[in-house]
Amino acid sequence: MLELTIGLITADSDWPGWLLALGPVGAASFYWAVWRAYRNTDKSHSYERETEVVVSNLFGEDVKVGENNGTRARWIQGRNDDKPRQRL
Amino acid sequence: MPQELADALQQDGPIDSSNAKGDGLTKCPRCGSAEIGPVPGTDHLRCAYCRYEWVAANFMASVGFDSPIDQLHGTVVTTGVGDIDRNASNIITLKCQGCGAEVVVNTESQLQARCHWCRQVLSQQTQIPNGAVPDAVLPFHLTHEQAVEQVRKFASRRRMFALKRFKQEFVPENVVGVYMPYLLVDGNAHAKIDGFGEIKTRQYQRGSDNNKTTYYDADVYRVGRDFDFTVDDLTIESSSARANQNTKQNTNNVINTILPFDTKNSVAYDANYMGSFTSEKRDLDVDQVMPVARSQMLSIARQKATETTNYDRGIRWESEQLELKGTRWVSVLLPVWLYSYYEKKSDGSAFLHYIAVNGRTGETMGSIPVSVGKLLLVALTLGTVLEGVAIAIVANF
Repeated sequence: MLELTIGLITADSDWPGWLLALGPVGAASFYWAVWRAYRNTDKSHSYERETEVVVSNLFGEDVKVGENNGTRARWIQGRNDDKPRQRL
Repeated sequence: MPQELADALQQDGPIDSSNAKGDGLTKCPRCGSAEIGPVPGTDHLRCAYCRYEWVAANFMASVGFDSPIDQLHGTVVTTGVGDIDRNASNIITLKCQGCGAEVVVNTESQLQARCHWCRQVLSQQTQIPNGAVPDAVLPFHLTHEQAVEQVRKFASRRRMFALKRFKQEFVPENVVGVYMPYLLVDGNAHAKIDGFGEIKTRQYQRGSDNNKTTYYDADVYRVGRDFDFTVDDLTIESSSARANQNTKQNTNNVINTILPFDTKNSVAYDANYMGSFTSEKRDLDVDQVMPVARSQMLSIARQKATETTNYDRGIRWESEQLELKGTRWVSVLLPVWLYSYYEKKSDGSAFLHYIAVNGRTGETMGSIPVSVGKLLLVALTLGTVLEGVAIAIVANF
């Protein structure tokens, strides 16, 4: 969200008008960070990493199927390798 | 273990994890006194009369649940995870063998009671169909003093914006030890995960000096992972109230966060480990938590699959399949120190905040009620200062 806001404002000029967003964004970020540190609503046991797991008979396939050239996106579209709890 | 033997064992139904102690008085094996309690900081039980100390058998070894998980087939359960009879009463009447009196125990929160006539301690040792008596228990290692210290430390780092009443009423000595019910599951599974990954081949910029845009070239790969895996002692809440972790309604997620426990060291259940601690009762059956177990194992599989890859632009997993070949289940009571605070909100509703301390490792997590007005004021002040600086810079540009 923050990245998006800054991105939109910085998109089209060298006038530092985006600085005007500093107040609202700073206030909201501070509120959100403190609230989360106190209430810890985002915390849970990370069972994906902390459970004892043994993997065996691993078969893998990595086949080049094409190219994605000239994209402006930093990551693959729909990236979800960092969200193991999200069901497909 | 040969397949035939494994199959035969499984057909015999649940593995008997009940104990032969009998309800009522449990006596010291040396002197016969019924004054037995846990020794703080250890897995020992001690007779308060003759000071004899002993420890209950390791549970996993005693029922053969330390055997290799990759040979597991079907659903193996113990008698302690048997289906709960919804009509079974939580109120149990124990007959005191000392004096013949009848003593009532509410198994929703207690598994022992003192006979009000002869003062001897009576224990509920037999597994009853209401889910109160588990297979195994992990004794408290952290003492009350250590738990108080953990709670104090956790709260003192979050004083500035804490609710005023919370600070005024903060008495960390009120932390109480509770045995929480969980189901431990071992799983033997196979997973197949497929998707696409990208590797960056070039990064470049286009546009004039002041208006540059970054572009990327990437190779696209089809990624597939197919593997067997075993999961050891996945720990799942077996009380429906605790399993509800909607953070808008409760703070149960902080109790979940202090997992994991060293469940391998669980000992066979003995009510004498309860001591002055209370307990909560299991009210979920294996069938009811199976979807949670499956989902968690699938998440584990996804994580493991991702760990075997190296795509710098990330992966988009598109399909995931889990074949659960075998599971085995154990019900345990795990030790948690809980500090609770009822926040009465201005709209009249109440919200229960917990600070939870793992009774074995000391891992602490909690929820501290926030003074919204104060936090808002400071946030707005900070915002105003930042905005002032920003306006000054923009105006002078």
